[in-house]
Order: sequence, then structure tokens, then C-alpha cells
Amino acid sequence: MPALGGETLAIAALLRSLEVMPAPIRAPSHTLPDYWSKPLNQTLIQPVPAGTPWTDILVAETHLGYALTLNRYFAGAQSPAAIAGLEFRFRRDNSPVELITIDPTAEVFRDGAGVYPMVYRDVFFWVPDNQVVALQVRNPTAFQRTAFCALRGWYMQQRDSSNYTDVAGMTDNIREGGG
Amino acid sequence: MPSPDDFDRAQLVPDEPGADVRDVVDREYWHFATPTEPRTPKILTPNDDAPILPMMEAPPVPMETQNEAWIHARLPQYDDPNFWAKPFNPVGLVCVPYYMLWYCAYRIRVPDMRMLVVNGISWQFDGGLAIDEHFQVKVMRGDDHVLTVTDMLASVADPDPAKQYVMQGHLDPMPTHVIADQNQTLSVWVRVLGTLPYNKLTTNAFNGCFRCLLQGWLASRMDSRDGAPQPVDQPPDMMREVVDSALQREIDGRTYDEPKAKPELHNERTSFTWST
Repeated sequence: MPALGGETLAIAALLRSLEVMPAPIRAPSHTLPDYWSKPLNQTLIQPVPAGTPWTDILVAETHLGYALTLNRYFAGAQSPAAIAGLEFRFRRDNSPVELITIDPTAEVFRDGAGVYPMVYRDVFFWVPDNQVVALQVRNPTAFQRTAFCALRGWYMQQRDSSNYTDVAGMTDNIREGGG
Repeated sequence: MPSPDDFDRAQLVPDEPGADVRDVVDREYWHFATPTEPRTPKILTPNDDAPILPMMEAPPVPMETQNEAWIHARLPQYDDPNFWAKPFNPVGLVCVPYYMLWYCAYRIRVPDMRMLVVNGISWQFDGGLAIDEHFQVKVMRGDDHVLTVTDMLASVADPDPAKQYVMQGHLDPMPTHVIADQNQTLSVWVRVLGTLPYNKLTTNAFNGCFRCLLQGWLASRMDSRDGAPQPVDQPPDMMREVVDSALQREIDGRTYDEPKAKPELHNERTSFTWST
């Protein structure tokens, strides 16, 4: 029988302690908001003039030291989308997000034409404080349209959740590579 | 129809030597039956009665007891209410007499050893609001601005007030995650802007009433195991109040392993160097 080393004894003590105590387990901060999170609820009702090129219509606010998890959104028009002709897309920093296509010819954010309220759709953006995520709109038609937009998510502390002292290292808050 | 008396007993003469007349009666009585062959028992070889078993691997054996550990995991109360949490579903109502002014529709001071978590808000106007008129709803925590939402009465085609506004309805509350800690005040405010462009003044009468519905829970900050006053969901140095307006101060001031020692007063004074 091998001799019990210090690590073995430590693991045995840990297992024993876990057996007798309820262990608090929390999800990573980019999965669920935590105690230190700050909610993000941005909405916009904005007329878009005719012929507007791609323009930022709703920019997710960022705070220094806080990363943003953007998990729901909607983007539509007051008229039925298929008639309104507004087109939306997401922008991260200086490039459009190619993997998200917001269909301008279908009512994807409502139960039907003229039916309210708008319906959120799921999305996942993790935005560190040195990046920008914005919802862009353009109006290729000859008529002014009113856009309805909303972003929902939460801010999370952009730091190491294991010791609350450093932003680097093994953490659930990835400092870089959020894109 | 033949009579039983016409039965010709001469037909019952056995036609085989040694046969009984009752055999003839049976044969005639069961003439319609299919003749059967007597069953002969099958002689089993040693492999014929073996059960069919998979021949791949041995059956599993139970895990050894000493390798098992049960962990009673629980989520923090800012994610899920626990046994000691109280439901929080209030309704706030305020009448809005004028445009462009903020009115407080709901206010609560979170009681001691409780933490309020609001995960959904919905609202409606009880009259006064016209189609395409905008209004803003903001949530304050003490003096801190938590969020502001702009909404609009978009349609009255459906008489249900839960299906008339753009951003939310009572059936689809606006998802959010607002936390107010003990002794903090959470309030919901409303301001009617009117239609675009916003040219209403604070002297323009509105004469409508605003109603907001909140949903969430009042979490207990006690120890969830024994009820002792030991807050467990937050690290010890996180037990102060949440202040959103001082984000950078939080970042700079947070030291979890080694709290910064506050300088003595006289050291603080002597550290000043005036360049006059």
C-alpha cells in the first residue's frame, strides 16, 4: 500500500469537508449576473431618415474596468419590417459582425405585424471595456422609418474572480480575445 | 331429419382386430378434427438450454464507496432565491399630472439582512397616454442611476394593456438584474416625453396614471444553513453597499488578500508638500 502523501491527505480532507457542508457554487460572471453586476437595459425609439447609410443607432455603453455581457436584443421598425425596409447589423469595433444576420424581410422580433411588445432574441457578446459593440441601421428606402431597438445584458467586473486582485491569469473573465 | 332411433349400430363394428367399439364411436364423433401426431419430447444438448448472454464484457460492478462524495451545491441568492427568500411582486402606482417631470411610482427601503433582487419590470398607463407618445422609466438605487428605459404606446388594436407597448408587457416583463442591498432604497420613476420632437413643457398637463409591476425576491443574507447572522454569499470585504456611481473607486480600492492599511492622520498630514 503506498504511503499517504500530503496531497492525498489534503484531498481527503477536502472531500470530507465537501460531504458535510453545502458548497456555494456560482456560475461564471459571463454566464449569469452576480452580486457585483450592473444591469444593462438600453432602449431606443428613433426615426431614421430616408437614405441613411450604415449608422450607429444604439451603442452598448462600457465602463472602465467592467466587461459587458450582451445576451438579448431586438431591432425592428414601427411598421412591419418587410415593409419598413430598415436594415440592421451589429458592429464590433470597426468591423461588422458577419455571423449575425438580422433578416430585414421577416418579422423576427414580433409575433406578427403590429403586435407588441417586441420579442427579445438571444445573442452572445462579451465586450471588454476596450471594445465597442453597437447596433447599426440603414434606411435604403425613400421614407423615414421609426426604429425600435433594445439591448439587454449586464456588466461584470473584468478581473480575476479567483482572488479579486488581478485581471490576468486563470479566470472566468477573459481579459483578451472577447471577439 | 334422421332420428336417433334410426342409428345403425352395425356401423359401429370395429374394423380392426382388437379395437373396441368405443374407438369407433370416438372416430365417428370427432370425424371433423384434424388428426394429430403424438408429441415427442426434444432431447436437449448441453448448449441448447444455455441463456443468451452478450459476450463482450463483464457485467458492471458498483463503485467503491470510498470514492463517492456528495456535494450539496446551492446557487448564490443573487441568482436563485433559497428557502428563506421572500417573494417580491409589488405594484407601484402614481398619477402623472404634467409632462417632462419625474414622478416616483414605487419606492422601497430594503430591510435589514435582506437583499432585493429584481429580475423583471413591466408597466402600463391607466389612461392619458396617446398613441406614439414616448415616456421614460428609470430605476434608482438610492441616488445612483441604475437604468433608464424609453418606451412608447405603439398600438391599441389589442385592448390588453400588456400588448400595447414596444419594450415590454405584463406577459413579457423587461428582463433585468437589479440588486439593492440592505438599507438601500430602490425606486421606480416615470417621465412622459410626448411625441417626437419632444416639445412639451413642464407646464403642459398630462393627466394620466402610471402603474409598474416588479418581480423578484428578497433574499436572506443570513447563513442559509443554520440561520446565523453570517452572510455567506459575498466575500467579507464585499459586504458594503453597492455603489454604481463609483466604479473606478471600486476597482482601485478592492484588495481581497491584504486590505490596505489606512494611513494615520498625522502621516497623512505630513505627507503633503506645498509648493508655495
